[in-house]
Amino acid sequence: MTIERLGTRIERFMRTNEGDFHALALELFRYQFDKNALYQAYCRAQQRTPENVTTWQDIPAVPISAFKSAELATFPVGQAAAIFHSSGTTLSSRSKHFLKTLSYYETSLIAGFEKWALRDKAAYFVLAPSAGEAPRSSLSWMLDVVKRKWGGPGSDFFIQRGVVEDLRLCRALESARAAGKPVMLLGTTLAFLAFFDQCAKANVSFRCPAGSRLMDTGGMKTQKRQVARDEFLRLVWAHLGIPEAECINEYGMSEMSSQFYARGSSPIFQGPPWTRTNVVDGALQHVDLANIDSVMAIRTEDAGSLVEDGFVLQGRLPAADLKGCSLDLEAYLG
Amino acid sequence: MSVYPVLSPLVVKKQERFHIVRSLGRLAELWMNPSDAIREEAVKALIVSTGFTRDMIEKAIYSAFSEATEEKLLDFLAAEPAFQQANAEVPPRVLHVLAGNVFTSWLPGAITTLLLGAACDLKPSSREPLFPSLWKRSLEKVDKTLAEKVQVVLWKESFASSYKTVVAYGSDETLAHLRAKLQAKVRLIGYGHKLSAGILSKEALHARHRPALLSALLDDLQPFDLEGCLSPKMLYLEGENGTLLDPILDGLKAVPACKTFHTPQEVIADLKTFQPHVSAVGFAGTREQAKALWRSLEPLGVSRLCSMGKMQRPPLTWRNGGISLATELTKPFTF
Repeated sequence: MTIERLGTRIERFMRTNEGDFHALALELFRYQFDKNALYQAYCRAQQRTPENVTTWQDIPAVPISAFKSAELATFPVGQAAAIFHSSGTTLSSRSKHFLKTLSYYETSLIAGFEKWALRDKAAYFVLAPSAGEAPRSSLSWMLDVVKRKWGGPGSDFFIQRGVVEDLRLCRALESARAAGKPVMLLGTTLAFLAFFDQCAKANVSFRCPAGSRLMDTGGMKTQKRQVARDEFLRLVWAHLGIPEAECINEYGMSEMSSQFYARGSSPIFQGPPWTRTNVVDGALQHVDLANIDSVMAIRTEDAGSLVEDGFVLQGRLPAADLKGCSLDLEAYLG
Repeated sequence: MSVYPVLSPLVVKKQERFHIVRSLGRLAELWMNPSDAIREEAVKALIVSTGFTRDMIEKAIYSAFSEATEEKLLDFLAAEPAFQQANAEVPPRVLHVLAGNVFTSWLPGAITTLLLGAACDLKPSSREPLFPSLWKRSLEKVDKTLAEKVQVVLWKESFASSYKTVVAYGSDETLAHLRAKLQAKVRLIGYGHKLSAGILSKEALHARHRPALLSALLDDLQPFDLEGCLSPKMLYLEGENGTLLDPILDGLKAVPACKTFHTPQEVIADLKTFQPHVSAVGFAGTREQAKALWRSLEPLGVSRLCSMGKMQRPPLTWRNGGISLATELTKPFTF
């Protein structure tokens, strides 16, 4: 089977929600094993090949840090249509996700967003840098896609040069309130917290029109600031008047093409049917069929546990677990 | 072959030991040969499993195996009294519990174990599970019989009592946890939390020597993104501040703390505050200065003073943490 045909079947799965995850995962593993010499060596070192891998759980998951050191692509990376970088202080400390086409990513994003987060006929206020300002940010690209697809009049990005444009956002929120039109707020948890801080200082708050919704991302991952989910939801209600039921937490990463969502105060993240999540040694491992041209199985540095209809994120693995002998809190069991 | 140890002690004959040296020497050659297929496959796999660059991995491999050539193994045998003991008894199998992504750190211990004639069981870290298997596979190519003495194992509760000796790498907390798991009769040889430092004299920092110094520093700083216990976490600069090092520090993922000093006593006083965790000290300066420095460092418990640029290449004779593994493994058991 050619990659085009396999890609078509996976894309159909993403459009219709109907497909044989297991069969597609094994076929995609064979393809990625054949086309990516580094991944193949990594699999062979574990004596796992398409000949003896028979379940999706056996597909070797690459540590997420490998995206920093390796060009994990099934094609010459010079032909990449997009390269998404994770955040990081230096170029060498950033992950690089090479995408031959943005088509699969976009299809997966749209299907997932439509199911879990969509609020149409609303102005989309985005608290993230625009794709123009951050061309290597998968988050900016994603939010740009959904803004363009579903954002009504007045939709815009409200971060410039890393700073939330508080006054402009306040004006936009005020005019939405006056018009009685619901808004969709999207952005990083940190950006929302920064905005709430400014609102508190200026002693202002908003009552977004009924039907307004908020989607934030990245809350658990930042080292700079972390608030409990309940506290965040309380701040959203206090400053924006958006109820808990209309708040969605998105979990994604630049190394994956699909996203997971949790609603309200629920800690349970759910993903689309072309993804699967496993927990190995306490770390979340995701298999994402939309990662057709890179590596579909990824071991994250996020701790978590599986529940019946998804997974619960428990923050980052202890930093020391990720380090070498100078700081290693090596888990020797398991 | 069973991975479960038997408990009768073992004595290795001199002739057997030289055979092991020859095999391990050939193994080092294999790993230092960039065109060897096993090595190339391992480098590719390690790029993925460790998150380190190819350059970093190749340097780490070279550093580890260039210290384990046949010639250096013979030097090690000659220098280490434990190898001179006739009829020295060692446990038949030794379990090594390995640390994370400083993926070569356990090699000297495994080599020492094999040289003593014992079998070597390796429990890899879940963080970097591949290198032990790759090493065993390369050993199979060189000496199938010797390779049979190496087993890569997963932790089992029965390990708490089935080995006479366990060698472990990790944090002090990890070692304490492991100690609590093991039965009292099991001897635990632990390599815990360590950090290293570099001292740069005024002479070495002089503009004339600086290019060579920066190049040497890079060899010490780059491997393992400063996570290794031999990576200098602190650099002491005589009469200068760290901006002098910006040309190399700017390109690194992790940078050391830079401190200015005016007298060696200031450095010693500062290092004292990190004891007992200081492992090695790299030095750039004159031989006389190094000798004087060692006189102050040795009483502190520092186990190694070497030239900058050589920190990541400890010789087999280095007593990591002050421990001679060969001596420890040949110590009679008393309960």
